[in-house]
Formats: sequence, C-alpha cells, structure tokens
Amino acid sequence: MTQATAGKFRLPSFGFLFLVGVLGWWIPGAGHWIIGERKRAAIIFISLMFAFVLGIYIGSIAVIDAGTPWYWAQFLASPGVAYLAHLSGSVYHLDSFGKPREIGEIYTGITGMLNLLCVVNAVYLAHCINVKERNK
Amino acid sequence: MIDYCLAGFMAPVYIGTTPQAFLLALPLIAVISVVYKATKMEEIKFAPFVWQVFLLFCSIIVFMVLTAIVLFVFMKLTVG
Repeated sequence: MTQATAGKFRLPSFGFLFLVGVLGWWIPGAGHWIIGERKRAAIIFISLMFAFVLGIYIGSIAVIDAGTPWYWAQFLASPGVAYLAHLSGSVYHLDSFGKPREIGEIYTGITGMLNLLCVVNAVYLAHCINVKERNK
Repeated sequence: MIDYCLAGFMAPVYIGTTPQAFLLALPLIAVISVVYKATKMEEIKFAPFVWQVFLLFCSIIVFMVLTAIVLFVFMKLTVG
C-alpha cells in the first residue's frame, strides 16, 4: 500500500483518507489542516463556526432537536452537535418556536451541509496527495 | 462552566415579521460564498479570493431577488 505524507503523519492511503474525513467532520477545517492546506482550513473553521454560533444564538440551542429532520443536517457540522441536542432536550428541556427557530435551524443545518462539502473536498485533496506520492 | 458558556444561547432572540428580517439571509449567504470558494479555488490568495467571494455573494442575491420577483408576479397573476 502506498504511503501518504502530510506534515508528520505517515499512514496507508486508505487510513489517511479516513483520518482526513473524520477529522474534517469532528472539527470543521481540520481535514484541510492535516493535509497542509492551512489557509483553507482557517477560512472554513472561522466561517462555519460563525454560522453555527449565530444560528444557535438566534434560535437558542433548542434548534438542535434530535426529533426533527434538520438534526441530521446539523449533525454533519460535528458530532458535538449530539451533545448540544442532549443538553437542550434532556438536561435543560428548552424549546423555541416561530421565526427564530426557523432561522436558527436554517443556519445550523446549512453549516452542517457546508461541512459535508468541506469533508468531501478535504478527502479529495488528500487523495490527490496520495496519487502524487504514488507517482513520485 | 457549561451553564456559563451556554448562557447566551438558552433563549431565542426576538425577530419580528418585518422586511428587515430578510437581512438575516446576508450573513448566511456570505458564509456560503466564502466556504464554497475556499473549497473550489486552486490557490487561496487574498485579493482574488475576496473578488470571487464578492461575485458569488452578489450572484446569489441577484438570483434570489429575481426568484422573489417571479414568484410575486406569478402570485399576482394567479391568486390576485
């Protein structure tokens, strides 16, 4: 199996792609960071965190409700969203309604979907690094 | 500690049903433009990146306004 290198990481190609994907999901931008795309990583992290935090500020953390379809889009932003859903539903028993909830759901849901785009992009870039290493 | 961190996120803010509420779309459109261009551009350089983001931001707004106009005209013609 070929070896992929990014910074000090040296892993088999599939393991490297998996690591990039999982890291990109856990922390938005971390997938790009690990493959050396530091500027892209910083832009993605700041933008997605801004949108997510603005979303939960507008609608409160009650917009992260595991019982709605939006939850699965929000969950793509990070697995940490599951903890926020637990806090809002089981610990604080929060709820929000109307326009703030709608807007909060849209902000956080789109953040998750954008993070999916970033994860796919980071894995693709990592694959390109693998191919480049193989052709050396 | 968690209570302190989440204090500002426990209650929704008030948003009235006013035309100004549409302005809340702008930050989201900006984020979409920035993230999309961050994934699509081959090289990230400040000036070209900002220009591309600006173009995408404006395109999205223009097409949203055009869609709103088309829907408005359609509703006027059908429902009255």
